[in-house]
Amino acid sequence: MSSYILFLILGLGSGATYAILGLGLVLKYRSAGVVDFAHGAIAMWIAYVFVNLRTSGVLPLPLIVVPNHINVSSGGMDTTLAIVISLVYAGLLGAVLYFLVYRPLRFAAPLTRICASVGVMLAFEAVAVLNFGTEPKSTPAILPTTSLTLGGVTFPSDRIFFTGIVVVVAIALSLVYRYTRFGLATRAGAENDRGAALIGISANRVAAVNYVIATVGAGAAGILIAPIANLDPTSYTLFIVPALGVALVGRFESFWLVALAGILLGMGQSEVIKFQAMWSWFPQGDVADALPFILIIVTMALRARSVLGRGEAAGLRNPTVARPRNPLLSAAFCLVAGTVILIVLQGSLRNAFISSMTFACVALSLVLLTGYVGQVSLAQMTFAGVGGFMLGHISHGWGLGFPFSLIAAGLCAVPVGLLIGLPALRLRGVNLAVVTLGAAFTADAILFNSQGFAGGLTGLPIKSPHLLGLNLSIAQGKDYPTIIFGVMVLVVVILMGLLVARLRRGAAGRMLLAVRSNERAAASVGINVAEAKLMAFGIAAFIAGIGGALTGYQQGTLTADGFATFVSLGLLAIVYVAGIGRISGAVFAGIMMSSTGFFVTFLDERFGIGKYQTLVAGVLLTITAIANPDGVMSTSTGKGPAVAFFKARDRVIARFAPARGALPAVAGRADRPTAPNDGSAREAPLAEVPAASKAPRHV
Amino acid sequence: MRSLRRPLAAAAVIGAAALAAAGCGSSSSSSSSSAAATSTAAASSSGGAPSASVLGTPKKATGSPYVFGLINDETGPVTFPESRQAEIAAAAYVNNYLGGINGHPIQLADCISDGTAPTSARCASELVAKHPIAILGAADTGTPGAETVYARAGLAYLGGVPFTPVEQNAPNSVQFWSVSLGDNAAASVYAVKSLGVKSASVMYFDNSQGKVAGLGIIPPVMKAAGATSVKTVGVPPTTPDPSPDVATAVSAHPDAIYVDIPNNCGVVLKDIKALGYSGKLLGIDPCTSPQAIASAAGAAEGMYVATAFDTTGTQFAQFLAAMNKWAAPNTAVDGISEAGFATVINVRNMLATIKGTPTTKTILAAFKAGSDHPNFMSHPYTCNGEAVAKAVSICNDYYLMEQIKGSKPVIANPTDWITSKGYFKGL
Repeated sequence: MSSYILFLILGLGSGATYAILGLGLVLKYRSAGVVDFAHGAIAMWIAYVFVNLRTSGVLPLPLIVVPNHINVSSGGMDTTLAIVISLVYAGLLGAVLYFLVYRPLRFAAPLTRICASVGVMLAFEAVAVLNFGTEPKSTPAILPTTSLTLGGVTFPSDRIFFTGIVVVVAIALSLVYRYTRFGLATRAGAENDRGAALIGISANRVAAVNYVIATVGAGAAGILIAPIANLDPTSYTLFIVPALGVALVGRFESFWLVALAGILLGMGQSEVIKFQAMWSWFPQGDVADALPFILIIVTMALRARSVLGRGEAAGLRNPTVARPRNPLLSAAFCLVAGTVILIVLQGSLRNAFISSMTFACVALSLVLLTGYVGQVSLAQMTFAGVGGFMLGHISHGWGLGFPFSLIAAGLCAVPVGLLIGLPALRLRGVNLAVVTLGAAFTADAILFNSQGFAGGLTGLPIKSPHLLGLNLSIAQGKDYPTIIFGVMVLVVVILMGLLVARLRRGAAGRMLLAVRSNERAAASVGINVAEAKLMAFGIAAFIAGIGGALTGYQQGTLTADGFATFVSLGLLAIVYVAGIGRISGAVFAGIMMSSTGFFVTFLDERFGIGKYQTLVAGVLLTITAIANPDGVMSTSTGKGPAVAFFKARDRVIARFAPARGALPAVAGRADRPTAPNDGSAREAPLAEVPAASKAPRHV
Repeated sequence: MRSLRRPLAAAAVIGAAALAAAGCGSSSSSSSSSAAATSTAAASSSGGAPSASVLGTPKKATGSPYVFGLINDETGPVTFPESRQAEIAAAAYVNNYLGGINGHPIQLADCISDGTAPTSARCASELVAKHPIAILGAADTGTPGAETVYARAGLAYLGGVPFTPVEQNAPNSVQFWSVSLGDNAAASVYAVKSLGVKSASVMYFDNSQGKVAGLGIIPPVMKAAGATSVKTVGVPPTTPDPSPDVATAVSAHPDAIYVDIPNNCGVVLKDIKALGYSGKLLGIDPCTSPQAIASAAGAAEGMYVATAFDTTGTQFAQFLAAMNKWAAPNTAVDGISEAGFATVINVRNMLATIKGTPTTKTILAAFKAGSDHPNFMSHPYTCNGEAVAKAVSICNDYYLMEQIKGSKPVIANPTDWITSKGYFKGL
């Protein structure tokens, strides 16, 4: 029995970590309305600040190249003083981030804020990699580590102290936010910011203070975690998934519930490890990794109705959706233009253009699922991975040739899509995002980490495509990448685009948009909401699976690293800021924003951005999210890059097909939100109101 | 929109600064990137930097340059900036002191990857467009993506750190040592045969890379060498606190615990000690870094680690002198940088034997002919496909054992090269 108790106690380290990160996530959600994926990265950064102050007296700044540190003292620094300075630093950093990033987005859709937070996360991780390297850092213990013996069990005492601190913090937060004027103001602002403004509460100021407190909390978390865990630029971000799970258990509201859930989750994971060692019949493998997802699913099943959203107007907004006016003509244009580009480009740039197309294919699945149906999925790369790896198994083991192997690979992703889509029957928005992230996390740990399924380190070989004796493979002798392979990918991606356009324009599209806009209203007019959602998840999984399979054909050997959990997060962010309600957004994301795509490759070849790529991507993603909350390819404002692009496209088409007169001269008309019949009528007027007039008057 | 202007302007300034930084040279950034590395070229030589005289008499290469491509992981979750810096230093040493390759200076065309196969494939395409005569291996975990491109372009892939089975077996690949394959196998044999270990717990990083060593190499080799019981414990990369996993390993009361965890070695060692374990310890190269040893808070003392490099001789002094002279300041000195430096020297030495401009065919033929070629800082190599079972591109399977003493890795006997031949049957 004593060994079971030992494992429970040892689980406190992980549990306290989840709990303290979860508390910060709740604070940020209630204050700034953001599910802050950068929370772990901020905790990591402050931990680096503390370690550097403590060991060398250097205060690191989140900058590169230019002087990026201040020498505060020669040699090390007293631990208490280092903690105090680090927490003050965290507070200042929180204030800067709030006013620079989140305040401008306070009326943007929640997804826009998530995208901005992903940008912040990428930027801080990249700066940490550049400034500190990835070798784990160490720091001596902060809390007492003397061995304790309880009931015959010996264990280090620091986990007990860490847990005690978390419990005290949770109780303090609960009391402050329940009984103080500031806490009441926070709750009022979270429930109804405009109402709060009417009674004299500046929701903005309250949110700023809360954000600063939450960032200080993140800093404290980072400092406390550092001695027991691994301080490197990316590990803390991985802890966010279970932390989100426990935040969800606490409905993004209850501090004590979050703390309790976090501690229990850590203890549960630890006990699972014990069970695996003790009982051979107990499921082996990565069961402990799957626990956060199980926790999320169980919570959603039991308490979905009581998971709260913030009471804000922005929470109701969806990104604007375009209605493709003439898909066949656009497809023909893309086919011709794409083929010309493939012929003109050579070598690495042609390869990058093909990568752009495969990325665009996966991005199209998000246009359908998130853009048209409003279902936020962070598992698209999981679907793509299933399609890609199944292509390897199908092409080698099943004896199925192209194109049937490709179609079959896409179809294999459908059941996974339906399975992950099941929680969507009860969830929406951010809650669904967390669930799908948990599912992707689990698939990553169990499926893609499996040697049998994903080929392990070597990867899974993919047989080259042949059609009716025609060799479509990417390499033929010295010819690499071949034009014919590029054209094949282009045709498949265009077909997927036509599928999405067809859905959008037909009765199914109207049904999906109705569901997106108001599920109850849709149900009241006879739409089967559950069926519509599952259909969208199924078709989106198919398209993503096709995208993954095309990637497999391109790479020849497919490895799992391209389908990791946080790749899906980056994908959503990129497609969202490109324009998730538009097919053109998917194309733009593929060509301009994909890390292996055309534009990034061009920049790397010309300017050697290599090691700065992630940093530039993070900064630009954040800026783009702030400047274009509706997506770069949105034409709703009548200006911007998308409008210029569509005008150019229309001019080209008009020149070669003047008799058709198929497209309007001004693209803004073609792609603007079609409020009357797309179900987004409620959002459209909001989008046209100047931001300043939407803002509540803060007193 | 007015409310957006100020924050946007500030954000734009940050973005512009970042972009400006992107356009700057790599040397200053490399300096900052490795500022945290405490094991540096200057620090590694006790008593200060070795004299430049060990480099010999200057002899400049003046011919047309031979271009070599290389991909190195310097962004993403795990980076090895020291590998590229070591190859830069080695190329400068070759060009300024060894007369290049028959008078032709080495020119490096590099591409920075994040360690994923898609990014490395993109890098490989960029490198192929620069028409290198061969690719120098560096430290890239995304090689499965890049190798396909090299093979299609008909380029040889030479040396570096062969992380994956792809470069360990590719017909166009030549590897001067093995990492995570031969070293783990050799250490496993050493544990059983020399340390008398009969039972062991193997803690491994539970990802694709970790499973290869943690499940596919160490346990079968230990059992083949005579161990009676080997327990395996996977540590998920997402675990904040590995102490429950450590407790599982300790609870088996093994003669030895083998810590095959590159990212969290110090913390795991500390937990092993905290839970009262006092048996033998074995580890891997990352466990010998000053950071890991410091993180272990004394728990690393006595740990055994296999290394492919002899850090006691003249060649190591030359390596340190060259790193001090040409690598970015504070570049880490470790197995990764040793592999990068030695790769360039080995390639130079072999290509100098080829008459005329080297081609892929003549390069591979030169490496595969003969036996016991000199291997800089390492055991001589023979590329007959038989050094390591089922890893035909690896040409050398001999290692030295070092032990942590006084918080430093110490090679007890630099002539006692060990091998796992006969015990490791391949993956």
